[in-house]
Amino acid sequence: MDMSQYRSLFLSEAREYLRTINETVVGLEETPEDRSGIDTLFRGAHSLKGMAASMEYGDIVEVAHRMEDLMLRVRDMGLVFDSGVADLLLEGSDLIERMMVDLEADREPRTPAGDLPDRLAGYTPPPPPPRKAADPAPAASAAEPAPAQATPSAASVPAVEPAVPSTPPPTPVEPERTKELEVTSVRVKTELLDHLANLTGELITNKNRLLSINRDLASPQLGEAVGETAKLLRALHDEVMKVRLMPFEAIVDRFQRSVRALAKKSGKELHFEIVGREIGLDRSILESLVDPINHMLRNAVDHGMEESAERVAAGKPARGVVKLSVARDRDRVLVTVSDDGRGMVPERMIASAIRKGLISPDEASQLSPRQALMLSCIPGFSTAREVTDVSGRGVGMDAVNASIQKLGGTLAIESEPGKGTRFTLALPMTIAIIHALVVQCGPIKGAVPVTAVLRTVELRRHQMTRVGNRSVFNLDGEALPLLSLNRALGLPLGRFPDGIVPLFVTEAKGRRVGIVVDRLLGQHELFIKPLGRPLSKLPGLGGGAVLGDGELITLLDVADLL
Amino acid sequence: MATTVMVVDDSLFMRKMLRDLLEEQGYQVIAEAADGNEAVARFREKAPELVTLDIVMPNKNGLEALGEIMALDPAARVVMCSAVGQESMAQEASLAGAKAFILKPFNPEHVVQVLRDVCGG
Repeated sequence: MDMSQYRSLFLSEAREYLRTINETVVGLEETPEDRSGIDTLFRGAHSLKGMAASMEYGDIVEVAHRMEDLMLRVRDMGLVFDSGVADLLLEGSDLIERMMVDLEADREPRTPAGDLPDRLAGYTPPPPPPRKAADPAPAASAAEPAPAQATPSAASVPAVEPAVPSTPPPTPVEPERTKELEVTSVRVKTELLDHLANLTGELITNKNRLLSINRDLASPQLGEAVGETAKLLRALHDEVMKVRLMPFEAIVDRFQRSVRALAKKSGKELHFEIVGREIGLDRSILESLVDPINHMLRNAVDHGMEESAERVAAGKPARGVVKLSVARDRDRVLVTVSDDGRGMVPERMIASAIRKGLISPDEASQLSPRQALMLSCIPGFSTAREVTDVSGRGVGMDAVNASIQKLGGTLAIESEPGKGTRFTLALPMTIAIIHALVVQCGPIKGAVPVTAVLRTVELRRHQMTRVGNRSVFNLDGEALPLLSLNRALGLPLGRFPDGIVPLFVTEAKGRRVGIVVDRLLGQHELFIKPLGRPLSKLPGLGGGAVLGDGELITLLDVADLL
Repeated sequence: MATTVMVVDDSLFMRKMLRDLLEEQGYQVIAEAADGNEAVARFREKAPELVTLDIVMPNKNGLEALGEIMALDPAARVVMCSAVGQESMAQEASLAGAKAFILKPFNPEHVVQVLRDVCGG
């Protein structure tokens, strides 16, 4: 039987099992008695073993087999699921993944199993920590900060020889949520999805062209037909984009792994919660989110979260909570990373920014508390040492902010000293076809993604004031600096004979600013295509699109331009 | 008429392999199921002449599903399939009415032989 035809199916399904294993391991560390989690791990390793055996991948079989045996000891022989078991299983899962990478690259396996199979087979739990004899109850009191990796109930269940079942038979298991493996589904290559999205985009551009032609022709029949086509295209676009959506679930195991590692390293006790795994995002956006989210989680664990003792002294539960949640908000997806740690103090952020010469005392006096928090997103705001001083924000936040803006999204920070901090990313659900505000600057038309536009304003001259050498205007009690897009593009400054200055408000370098343009031309649905070289090398250009009348328009990356 | 078969396994990979193998041998795979619950439901729905049933599966394992299938049709022809380590289940399955036990990884000739025996007898 020729097995090579099954290889890619093996790889993709084996990865699903590995992901389930990783997630379940991390989950079980919080609730080590969870029988359905234990069953899931056993089954995962068992299935991997069977699949790998069919493919005759002996190395993978061996590792999976040992993992299965270890879980059998946990399931049936009273071995406690402690952090030692968790570590070994995660190590096994990583090893199998590396072996699969070798297989995928069609090369001789260069990842030896090493001594891991032996360590899996020979695992014995560490002796229970010495406890006061008079204290038989497990330490559950918040007032007694236990080490983060304490083995829950390790003291109450003696380590047993694998062959001697000393615990009662397993209690009936809660049925696990059915993992739907629909027989009617097909797997397609992602390039095909990209191609479909591309064709749909071209069709939308073409529809805009027809609309534009009919503006001259004014044919009711043509108008009706184009209107109908537009409706169908919208439906097609929605469907194509839906196909490209992947659940957030697809990337969460990486976060669980990294938070677990960070907490372990810093010795902090915390509970990591993930909400909204089922929310779908375009797969390219999803991939670009991994690093920014990891940055924010690292900040939350390393800097936002206090030590247990400090928390208890402040009257908080010893165990902190870091939460990653994803939610739909109309056509956007909100990703928030929040913690119940020490929070950020705006005054200290300001003092620090002044000390580093990032802002002048004059500018500082104009900052609202909200703006002060956004100072963390200015490049150069934080160094590792400084981070601790200003209660710990800033590592890579400028990088986070930049990559979110590249995706057409925005970042907001809220924080309350002593209560915690929340970072919110607002992202478009899909890319390629976006809604953009089209603006005119001199002879040039530019497009700004509406996700980057907080609002548009038409100012009268008297609403503008000068602070130092800068023009500012007041928006909701906040003084916003005014910048000229013409100037940023190297064009002559606009004149506003009727005394009305059009502008849009956006976020740049962590602050809200007003961007003055010659004219606001309204919102358009654009199919954005990447620019080729050498245009792609120019700063501030995010891609190109064709308007209905055939005119070319560039997508402006405003933050990059200023 | 080709013998109709239902393939039950929680792994898509395993189902695909077995389906290909069976179809090559002239069987007609009329249903697949990924866990015990689905297996019982599909059995009720499609009444396949032959069932290959994995043991280690989520929600309802193969032995539980076997019991329910045998209750639905005491003449059902069910062949249990499982990987190394579950041999102890073989006897239990046979007592519960399974006609045969196939060990994974599948040896095509062996699978064909066992199924032929089960269908002939």
